[in-house]
Amino acid sequence: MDLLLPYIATAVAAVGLLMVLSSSAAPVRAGGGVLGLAGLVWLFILASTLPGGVGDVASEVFFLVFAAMAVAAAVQMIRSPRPVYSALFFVLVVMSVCGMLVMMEAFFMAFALVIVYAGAILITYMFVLMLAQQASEPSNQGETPEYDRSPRDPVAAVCLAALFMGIVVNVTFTGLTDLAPAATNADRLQADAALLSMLPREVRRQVGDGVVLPESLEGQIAVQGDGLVLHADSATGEPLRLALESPGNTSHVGWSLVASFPASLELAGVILLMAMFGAVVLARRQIDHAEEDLASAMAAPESSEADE
Amino acid sequence: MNLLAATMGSVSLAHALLLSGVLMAIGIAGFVSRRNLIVMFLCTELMFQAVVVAMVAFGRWYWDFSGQVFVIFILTVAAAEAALALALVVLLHRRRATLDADAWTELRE
Repeated sequence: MDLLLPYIATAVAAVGLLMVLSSSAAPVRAGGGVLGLAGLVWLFILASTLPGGVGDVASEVFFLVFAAMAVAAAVQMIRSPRPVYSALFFVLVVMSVCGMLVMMEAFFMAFALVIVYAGAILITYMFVLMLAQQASEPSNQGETPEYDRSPRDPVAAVCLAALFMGIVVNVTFTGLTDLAPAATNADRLQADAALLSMLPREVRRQVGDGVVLPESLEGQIAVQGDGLVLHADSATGEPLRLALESPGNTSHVGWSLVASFPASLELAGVILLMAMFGAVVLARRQIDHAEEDLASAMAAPESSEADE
Repeated sequence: MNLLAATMGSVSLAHALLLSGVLMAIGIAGFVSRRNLIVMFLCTELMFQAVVVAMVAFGRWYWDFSGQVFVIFILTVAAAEAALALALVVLLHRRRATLDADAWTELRE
């Protein structure tokens, strides 16, 4: 596939981003926003001919709406001169990403992202921001400091971003053709059956008490048409074929987590514990500094009076 | 569940990957161009979000839930990183009373 058009679209979007980042004039920024959006829309239209393409129009449209929201909020986040606004725009990015995850059937991760990111991590950021802003420069309240108003080197930043995006475009437009084919509906049902055969209590809950389940469910659950059936015996001994519901996304993620990655799960716990220790150590040192300052202030009260 | 899977059919993998790339690129641009320490860390969180989208998109393509499990680990690392980085930022802020990253340029020598 010819890569020239995708590269041009990327460059147009990069110029738009540069105009948004580097200019303080509102019309130029708005023009940059329109230009960047146009470049991205062009890029996405070019990409819609790639394999792995669009199956269901409704979910694709919702996905693109969330994508536009995420990109707009992300640009506002890196542009906004007020850090608090940046943090709030990041919450919007997280919400849009969660919408996209729902469109990609990752329901559990969408909720976890809202709770952990928007609920916990961002509150920590807001907390520190408020703490820092309240303490620094009480004289010019409401005025954002100079280092927030002027970006450091927008040209270099956008060049770096455009370079990265060029690599992503290259890989996406050339690499997707030799990707292994996507899982079909039958593959998904097979995965559901394999998971259900590991979960005897879930199967028991679905079929009720009047059924004698085999000792091992391995191989007893089959795919039939659009659903799953279980071969089992009733209490009186006659063979039954029971329809089963597929387990949800959460069951799949949970099983994958504890069955495939138990060591990593423990490691994640250790990481969290270490982070907690680290934060406590850092916080303790902060108290020491305050005490040092207090001690030096107590030791030299004459000089401060002389200054006044 | 089957009904949901049927109605939420398919999102183009190429679009998900491109969007992930765009978010990552914006995060890079923000990390380089902003001078506020806290906003720089926010930009790293933005890059985490990009990785999350790519992970989930590929996981859905192969119907392999390892992608979403990796997202759980990304969340863990992001939480740990946020706690430590913000504690460090508060510590630096106590010393210099500014969030400007340029105030600490002498650290490179």
